[in-house]
Amino acid sequence: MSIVIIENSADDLLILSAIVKEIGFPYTACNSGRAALEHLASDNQRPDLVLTDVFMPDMDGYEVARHIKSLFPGTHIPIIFITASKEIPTLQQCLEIGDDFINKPILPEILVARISAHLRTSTLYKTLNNQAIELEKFRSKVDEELRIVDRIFENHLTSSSIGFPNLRMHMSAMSAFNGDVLLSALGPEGSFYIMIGDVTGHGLPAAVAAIPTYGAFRTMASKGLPVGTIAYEINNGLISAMPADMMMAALIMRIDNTGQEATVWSGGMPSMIVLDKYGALAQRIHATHAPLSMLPSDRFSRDIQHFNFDIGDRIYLFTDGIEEAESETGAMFGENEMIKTLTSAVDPFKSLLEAVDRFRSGEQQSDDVTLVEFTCQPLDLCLMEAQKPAPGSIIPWHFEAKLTVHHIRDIEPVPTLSKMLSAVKGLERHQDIISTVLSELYANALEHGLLKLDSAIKEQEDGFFHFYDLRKQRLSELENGWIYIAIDCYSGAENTAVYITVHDSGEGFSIEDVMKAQSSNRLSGRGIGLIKTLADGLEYSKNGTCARVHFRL
Amino acid sequence: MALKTEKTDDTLKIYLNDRFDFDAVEDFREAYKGLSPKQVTVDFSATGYMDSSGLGMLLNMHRTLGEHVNITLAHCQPAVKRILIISRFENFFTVT
Repeated sequence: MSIVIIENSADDLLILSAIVKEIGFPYTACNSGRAALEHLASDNQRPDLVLTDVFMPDMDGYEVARHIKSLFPGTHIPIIFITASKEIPTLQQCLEIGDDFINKPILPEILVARISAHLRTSTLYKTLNNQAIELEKFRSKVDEELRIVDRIFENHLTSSSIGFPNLRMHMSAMSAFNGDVLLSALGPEGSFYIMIGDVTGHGLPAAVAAIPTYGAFRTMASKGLPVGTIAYEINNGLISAMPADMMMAALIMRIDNTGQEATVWSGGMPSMIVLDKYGALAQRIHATHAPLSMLPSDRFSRDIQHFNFDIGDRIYLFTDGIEEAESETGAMFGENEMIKTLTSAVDPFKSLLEAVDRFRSGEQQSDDVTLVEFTCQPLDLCLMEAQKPAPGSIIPWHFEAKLTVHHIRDIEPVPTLSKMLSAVKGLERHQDIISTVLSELYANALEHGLLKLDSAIKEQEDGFFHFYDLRKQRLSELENGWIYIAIDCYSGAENTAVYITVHDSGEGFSIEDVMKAQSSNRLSGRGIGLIKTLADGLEYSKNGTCARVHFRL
Repeated sequence: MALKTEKTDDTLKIYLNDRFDFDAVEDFREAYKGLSPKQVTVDFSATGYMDSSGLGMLLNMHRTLGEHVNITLAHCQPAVKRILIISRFENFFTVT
């Protein structure tokens, strides 16, 4: 801390210096304004306080004060004027240009008290200034990070939405990040999946909470899973990740390739609107479930609704941001107004968005707004072709597993194997066929090879259940045996070939007998018939203990 | 776990779970045991997987309830429908 004292009277300068010295502050004593300024200019150290006489020859206190302030701009230097004058204009000017005045003759205690008070203020000012600088640095850093996060979200969303001529989508977030979710994906055989969601709250937390759903939705849609199952799996994922008070209203819809049949799982979403091709209200799709992340998996319902549409029907999917849009007066747009707008417009999608905008008339958006229009029509076949992976693009691989009694008795290997197969790029669309065939081969190896069950049992009275009881019993008693499974995948010039071999340690059976006995209403032997139809080839060897199947995909 | 069912005097509706294979044998039987409906609907909307044991279970139900009973296999997903059609089940059941 350093104090500058400016006083042209040598005696007064001595007195002031003594007072300041007494309280232990370093100081510089100057007998004129000019001397003080020269000192400050050469020293270049900002003084913490200036004590200056007002009436001095050559340069008066006011001018000195102004010069000092201009030497150190952007800072606050407390200036106390010393004056014998009690004239009000003089005193006013002191307070205008400086921060305080003290009358001569000076009372040392008062001067000391004022100096302390002003130094306190000065310290406060310095602290605030530093905090402002820190805050600004922090804000820049956060802004930069948010910019990066924004890009990541954009990448996620663009990669998961598909451009279709019969699909129009609009999303506008309330803040920088959207708590609404809108995803679409192509399923097998030209089916189309769409998911619209609304996470509790908005902004970055809501947007982040929804991220796990993107990948899960796309993967399950590509496998053609029922919408209730997709909802169930997403629910499981969200429950473990989302805080207890957060949930996600969601609607998942799957439309078949004709564009006329759909299944829907809807939880906590407003009722969707379907217009016919003339623009009249045709159907409503209501939510029948609670939002996601509310119920644990054992209380979660996968029930779905079925709808039929006509070509040209238009389905409108939206989150509650539209109904709940607020006007200046605090009124809500409302469902009735929504229906009215949609049914009376030539272009309902565009008109609704414009109407909501007008209704809000410049008021800040209070919630994320999402609107989707899907016009029912058959899916372009070219798109279905485009789904096929290029031949030669799959890496050839070989997999084998030798299952011993422990695995066979205590674990279900087929679901695990199916899952592994489904992860192979290019095989997702065929997953259910491959899975079924693998399952049938395994069942035959197990039931006829190892457990030596005779399918003829099924034909007896109540034989079906007897067969399965016996199966359960013999399986638990199984002590010896193995099942060997090998899967090979090659990618050729034209297509991809998958070979599955299942070999068991049993005694084999006569294939001819089985095939001969197969007639359409017998309860047994269906498995082999199914395999032969789903796969492109089936061969038995080693007396029926080894089955080899191939597919050309 | 018991399957959800809806019964009236003459009809029975059974809702299947996501896998219709031999694990469902007992639950499926319980769903129609002791009943004699004239019309049965088996709802497959939640079913993503069915194998040949499922086919057997359907045939068994057909036999137990009587071949004159009308059985509809409703809301089948494409994968399930494919298996039913390949196995020519539309000859015995109404498949939708």
